[in-house]
Amino acid sequence: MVMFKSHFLSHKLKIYKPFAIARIQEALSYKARFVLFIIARTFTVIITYYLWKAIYNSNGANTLAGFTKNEMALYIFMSFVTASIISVEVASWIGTDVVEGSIAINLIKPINYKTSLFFKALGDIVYNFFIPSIFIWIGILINQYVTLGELPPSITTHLLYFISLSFGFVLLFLFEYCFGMLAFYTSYIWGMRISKNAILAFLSGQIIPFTFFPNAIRVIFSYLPFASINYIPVMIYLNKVKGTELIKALTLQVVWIILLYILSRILWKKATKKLYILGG
Amino acid sequence: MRNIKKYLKLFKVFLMQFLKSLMQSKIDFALGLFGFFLIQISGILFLILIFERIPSINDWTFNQMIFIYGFSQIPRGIDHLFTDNIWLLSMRLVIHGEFDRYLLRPMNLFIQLIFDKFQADAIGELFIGFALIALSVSNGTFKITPLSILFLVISIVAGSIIFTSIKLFFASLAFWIKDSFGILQLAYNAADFAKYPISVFPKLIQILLTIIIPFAFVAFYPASYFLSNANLFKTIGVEIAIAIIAWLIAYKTFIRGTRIYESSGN
Repeated sequence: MVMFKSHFLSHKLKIYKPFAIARIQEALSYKARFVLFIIARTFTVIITYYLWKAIYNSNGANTLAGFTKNEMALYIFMSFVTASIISVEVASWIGTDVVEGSIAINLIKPINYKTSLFFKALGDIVYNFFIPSIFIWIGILINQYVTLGELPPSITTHLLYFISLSFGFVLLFLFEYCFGMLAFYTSYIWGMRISKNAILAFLSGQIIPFTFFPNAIRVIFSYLPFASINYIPVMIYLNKVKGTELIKALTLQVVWIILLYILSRILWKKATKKLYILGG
Repeated sequence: MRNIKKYLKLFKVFLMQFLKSLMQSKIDFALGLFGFFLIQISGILFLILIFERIPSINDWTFNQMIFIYGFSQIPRGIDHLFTDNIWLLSMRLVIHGEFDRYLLRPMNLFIQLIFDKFQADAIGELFIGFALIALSVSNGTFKITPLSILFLVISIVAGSIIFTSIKLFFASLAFWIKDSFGILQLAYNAADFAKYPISVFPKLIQILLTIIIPFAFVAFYPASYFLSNANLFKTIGVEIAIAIIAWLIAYKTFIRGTRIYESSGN
């Protein structure tokens, strides 16, 4: 039975692995465009960093909302690293598939559409991890050690961060997948994507830590699934979530994964029922 | 004179076309608008939350900062509304040989290019821009006089020209390198720096935004004329000069590009 199961898994892996590899190859062949895109994206983090620097310096404040100047710098850059690693545009893929009608072909293939998307997303993650995240990350670690004379977070912290990051990725994937189901109802994915990314960036704590919000809003935001995508992994990395808080945070992530998984199944059933494809 | 009349007539035709398509897809329009609106909102919420805790950033107050922020969004929105099609030039018109159809018509190439599309999403940026300026002025950042309104309008026009010129220049590189989308995006995103006082950033970035990609003249320098009584000629005067120079460079590059353009074969 166990043997059968592992055989089954490796068979599955063999089917879906090409989806991941194709994404990496695609990214490599559009290298120039991709690298420029990455640099363009770092502008936001550079702007935020200097704004914070001015905020702390011009007011002589040691801590704001529980963050020292160095912690804030770490928060901003680790938020960026986290968001860059797990950034996947699954909703847009679904949108393109629906608008171009190729979703029909995907439905008659003997593969699971969602699983194939998941592996495509995994391919993106592998790529994202090396370009540019790992370089920025190493930069952060060196800066922390050399300039600030602080020891980098422990191996346990890194391990916990990776666990939380993986949960965050699965959550983001499920959220994107659910959101992508909207493509079955409207064809204007571009406009939707902009709204989605704006909400995601704000509610996942990338723009400003939740501790800056009024208490009631802070509590609500930290229980929303968006917090589990970015805020929780970063706060774990900063060692600001410890002990029972840590267990609570990881449990919350798992609970959201289960809930969104159920939701994704319901939405998929509903969406495919009303699917019409033009042409033959 | 007859030329202008002709183009005005054509502008009306294209505008009607655009309004018809807008009516047809009201939901799409609302969604796009909402998206750009949300991006702005999150930027402002950031400032609100910060200023809950501190009185000023580099001696700039909240009301002054939202003025700069809002003021930077209006030229951006105007450019976004009228010349969004320039993006297509950078990513596909050259590489797919689609620029052919513009060359076939007896009409100015640049005007053809931009008339092809109006981008209603931009109204979100314009709305936020005006709302922030109104809020800032009503909180007494500076006195509204006929003269200040005149300078505001002049500065917004010049700012929009700077925006369009930067976009046109980098998109036109596509005539040489086929796909200039990445470079254009890089240059365009630099405009995000212009939403904040330039003194916040290190010298190198300040120089880049003043000389290389002059977005600082779209918002920060002209805004400092209104907010801190900076010299008119050193702010809005220079802005106008830069608008003219940037436009001449961009337009020349564009026209040169169209001359070396070769359609993609079949």
